Formats: sequence, C-alpha cells, structure tokens
Amino acid sequence: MIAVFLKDLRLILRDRWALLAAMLAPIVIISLIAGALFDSNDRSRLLLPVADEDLGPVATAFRKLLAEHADVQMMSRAEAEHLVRDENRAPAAIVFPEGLSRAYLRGEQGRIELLTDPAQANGVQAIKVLLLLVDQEAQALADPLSEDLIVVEKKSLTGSRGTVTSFDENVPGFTILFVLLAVVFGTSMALHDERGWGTLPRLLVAPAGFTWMLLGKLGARFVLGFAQMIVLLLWGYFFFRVSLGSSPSALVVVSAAVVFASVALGLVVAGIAGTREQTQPLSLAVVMLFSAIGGLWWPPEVTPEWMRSIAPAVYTSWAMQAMNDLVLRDRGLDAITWPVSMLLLYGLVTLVIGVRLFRARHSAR
Amino acid sequence: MSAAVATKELRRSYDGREAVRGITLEVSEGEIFGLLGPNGAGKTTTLSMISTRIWPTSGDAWVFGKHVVRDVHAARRLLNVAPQEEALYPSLTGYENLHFFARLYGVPRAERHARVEAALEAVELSARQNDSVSTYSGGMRRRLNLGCALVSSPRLVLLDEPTVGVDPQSRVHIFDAVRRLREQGVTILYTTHYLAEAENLCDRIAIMDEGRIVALGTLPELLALSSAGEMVELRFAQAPADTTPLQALEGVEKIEKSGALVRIFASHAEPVLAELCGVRGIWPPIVQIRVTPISLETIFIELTGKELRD
Repeated sequence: MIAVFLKDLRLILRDRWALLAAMLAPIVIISLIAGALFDSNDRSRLLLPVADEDLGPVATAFRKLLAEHADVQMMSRAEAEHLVRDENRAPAAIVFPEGLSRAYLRGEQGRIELLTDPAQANGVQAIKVLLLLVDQEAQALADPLSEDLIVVEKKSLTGSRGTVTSFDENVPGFTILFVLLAVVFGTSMALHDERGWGTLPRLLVAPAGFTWMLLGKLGARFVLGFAQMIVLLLWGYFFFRVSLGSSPSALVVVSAAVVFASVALGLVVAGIAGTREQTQPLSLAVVMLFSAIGGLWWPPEVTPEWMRSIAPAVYTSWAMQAMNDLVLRDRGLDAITWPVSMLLLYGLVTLVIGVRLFRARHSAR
Repeated sequence: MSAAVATKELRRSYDGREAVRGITLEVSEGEIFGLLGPNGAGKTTTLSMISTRIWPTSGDAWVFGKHVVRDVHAARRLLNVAPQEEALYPSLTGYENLHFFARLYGVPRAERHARVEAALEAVELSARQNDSVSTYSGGMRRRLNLGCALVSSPRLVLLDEPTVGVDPQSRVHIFDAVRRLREQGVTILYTTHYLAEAENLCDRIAIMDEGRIVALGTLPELLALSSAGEMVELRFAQAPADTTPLQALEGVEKIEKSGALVRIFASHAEPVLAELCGVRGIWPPIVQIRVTPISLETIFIELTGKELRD
C-alpha cells in the first residue's frame, strides 16, 4: 500500500503543470465567485432612466425620492425606451406622463408608466419595489390619509411577454453551462485520447494534413455538442414549459454558434495542456471562469461593475445575450445578428489559436 | 532522384542533443531495407523524418523523388507507416479500424471494402475482423497495426520495430506479410534491433549507432567487412590490465576490451585457443569462453563495440 501511495505521489509531483493547474483552478474559481457575489464596494447603483413629460410637482417629488435610491438619469421617452429595449442597459424606465401632477392635485387618479425589459427580471423587480417605497414616502409627505391616487402601469418593451418564470431565466444559462462542460472537456480529452491510443502519429502523417484531421475531430464534437444543446432546450420546453422564443431557426443558429465557440475553446485547452492530468483542472477552470463571467449562473446585473466590464471578453456573455433575446424577449434572427457574429468571430479566432497551439505541441516542426 | 527513399546528410536534434547525425542512404524500389541498431541509435527518428512525422533539423530526404518537407503532401500519398506503438482504436472492430485508415489515406469508396478485406487477409485476421480490438491479443493488435499501414496500398511502408513484444506465431505472420509485400513490389523500410530479423528478412541492412550509419550493405557485404572468420569471447574474473600479449597470438586480427570482457577477432579460433593456454597465468582467471563464427552480430560488435540486446 505504501509503495502504491508513494508511486502515485511521485507521479503527481512529476507533472508540475498538472499540479499547478489543480491547485490554481479552485483558487481562481472561488476568488471569482467571492468577487462576483460579495464585493459590495464595487456594486454600482441601479440605473434608472426617467422621462418626465409631466414637469409638475408630483413628478419632481418622485424624481427626488427615486434619486436617493437609484442612479436616476433624465432623458426623453424615446431615449429611455432605447436604453431599455435596444441596449438592455437598464431593466426598466419610468415615464411620468403629461398631466400627472394636474390630475393628482385635482384629486384624480394619475398613472406612472413602467417600461420594462422582462429579461432583466431581478432589476425590474427591484424598480417595482423602489416605486412602491417612493410612492409610500410621497404619500406620507403629501397627505397620509389620502387615497392611493397614483397607479403604476407596466408595459414590456421587449416582446409580448410581461413576466418570465424562474425556469425561463435559468434554463438557457444552465443549458449553455452543461454544453460548455461537455464540449470543452470532450474536445480536449478526445485529442489527448488520440495520443493515448498511439493513433496521433498515424493521423499526423495522413495525406489529408494536420489541420483537416483536427477539423474532422472537432466536427464530430460539434455535432455531439449541438445535439446536446438542442435536447436540453427541448427538455426544458416540454418538462418545464420554458419558452424557446418565437424563432426556432434563430435558436438553431445561436445553438450552433455557441457550440462552435465551445469546441474551439476545447481545442485551445488541449493545445495548452501537455497531459491528460493537466487537461482536467484546466478545462474545469476555463468552464467555471467562462460561466461566472459570462453570466450563466447569475444575471449580470447582480455582478460588480468590474465583472460586467470584462464580460464581453468571454463568448458566454454573447451567448447569454442571444439566448435572452430569443427566450425572454421573444426576438428573432435580426436581433441576434450581433451576438452571433461575435460568437462566430470568437470561435474563429480561438480555433486559429487552438490549431497553432496544438500544431506547436504535436506536429512535425 | 528515382530511389524509393533517399536521404542526404539527414540530421535531427532535440534540445541540443543530436539524435540523428548526418545520414545518407538510398533505398531501391521493391527492396526490404533494414535499419538495425540498439535502442536510442536514431532508427525511429530517421523513420519519423522519412515518414514526414518530424522535420529534419538539417539535410534532406525524398520519397520517390518527393521532398519530405517541401513536397510533404505528395510524399505522404506514397507512404504509410506502422508506428512502434500500436496505433489503433480499441473500441472499434478490426474491420472498422482498417476502414477508417483506408478512408483517411484517401482510398476511393469503391475500392475500400476490397482493400480492407485484403489487408485483413494479409495479416491473417479475417476471422476476427468483427471483434472489438480491445479483445485482441497483443500479437493480433500488432498484426492489425501492420494491416493499417497496408490498407492504403502504399508504395513505401515504414515499419518501426513491428515485432517488439510479439509472440512467435504472430512474428511469423508478420514476416510472411512483409515478404508478400516485397513480392508485390512494395518498398519496405524496416527498423529492428533483432539481428535474426535483419538477417532473414532484409535485402540490405544499415547498421546504426549513436545517430550514424556505421555500415551499410547486403548481408554478405557486411560480413565481408571483417577479415576475421571467428570471434573468441573471453570473460575474465576481473578486467585484465594489459591485452597486448593477445595481439601477438597467431591469426588475431583485432582485439576489443570492455571491462572483464575481451573479444578476439581471428581468422580461426582454434590456434588462438591453443595459444591461450600458453599465456595463462599472466591474467586473471578466465571464467567463460565463447567462440562464434562471424555473423551480423559479431560484425555489429566489431563496428560498434556494443552488443545488441532486446
């Protein structure tokens, strides 16, 4: 027993890179999660676009009270809609319509418009709570015994869905996460398997050439990953009633682009890792990093500013953006052009890097 | 260049250590050419450069006139290789392995099945073609490994120590397959550290040591390199201080000393042995005497000062 123990210990210590990766991977992941969830110093205030078409005392009072709790930015209705609907930078905008103060002062009921992006459910919920709070404060200042003269009228700016369920929010992210796990591990391990079976040298001298051989292998992983993603989404649709949006073709395009980028990432991992032992912790670290930063585990609005600023550097954030556009915002192909282009570009660049790394490690030169 | 394989001053270094040190050779079409040498002699590195698996640090190599670096794709279409390590997919059947490699090496779809059947027959595995490779014995896997190199019907087959760790029966199967290939006009470059294989199988042999070719020729040509007829091997109880008196013995051509082992290359062993009795007493006691007629083994020892071991 001692002999086996010592031998295994020696084997572990011999592969220093594997040991380093195994030690660093959990440290990086834990630090990232801690930074994302518990870094309260870096938490920016909630951005709240406000369009004041009333310009009366009621709207002014509301604005002042809201500014105590959120980052209120005044703009026109069109600008506010653009910020919420097109840029998705704020979960909702508040519009104080013309005549609100006049109606209130006459003792008539007035309305505040809440223009929402249901895909940012947490943010929308926060603004609704904020409005409720501010409404109570305003009433206390004006006349504590008065009737509730202000109603909030909610309207979705990004599709027909007024609300989203917890499944709608979580299934796309976790689908991408599991596909990422399966594809990155599968791709990087499959390439090391070829070395383990001794078949790599034979493949490398085949007339087809190194790059085509590699693309063939990646193609198989792509098909498997794509099938996994579609099966997971269909499972969510049939068993959890998760919406798949209104454009099946767009969903297929996004799924293909996500899997393509994941396969390319798997190749990079295989190119960096020299041994199977190095591959495992490296794959795990990469998957966790890309999941956390890309917003697969939690909505971006709950993460600190620094994490949101680096999110575009990982393709998973583009994948989530596209999935949210399709699933939560009911958008179509035209809405996902940009995130899908980014996914394809990311995949292409990563593929070139991966081929070069793998070639440097395994080919003739 | 019309030779099947030609190399000129071929060299390869790894981290500053030169594994192959300027090899120049020519292999004619249709011959079995053996690279014979101990482990670490540079045989596999030489084969890898010819197979285009690795690039030479300097020098050139051609396969049927195609340069292995500058015309790599054309060279690859002409050859196939059975690496020293088994290169098979254990969860696929024998047939599936061969079929995959046939496709990989561009065998046309219409011919693929027939080629696979032929390769299975060549390595005598037709009966087990539908079994998973993981159920094959070591010898069967070696034979299938060879089959994978044959399935594309290459003009040049590179076999890297194909019989290492193989049972005698499978070894015979492999020899038969190699001989049949020669009959079909296929050129074979065969590395081995088994002297008997080189003697029995190869038309010409290059003896390699420490990255260099120390002798090259047919078996008779190599044997003729030695003017001695026999080798007398004396193992002393301890290393003798001086072997000069042995040089004076009748018929002695050359003497090599390696610790307590002294090898005397002589035209005939008998007078040497007789005279040895006369000079007894001036050296430590002799514990073993072996007399061997000049063979590839003795030539190898004479040229390199080393024995070939498994």
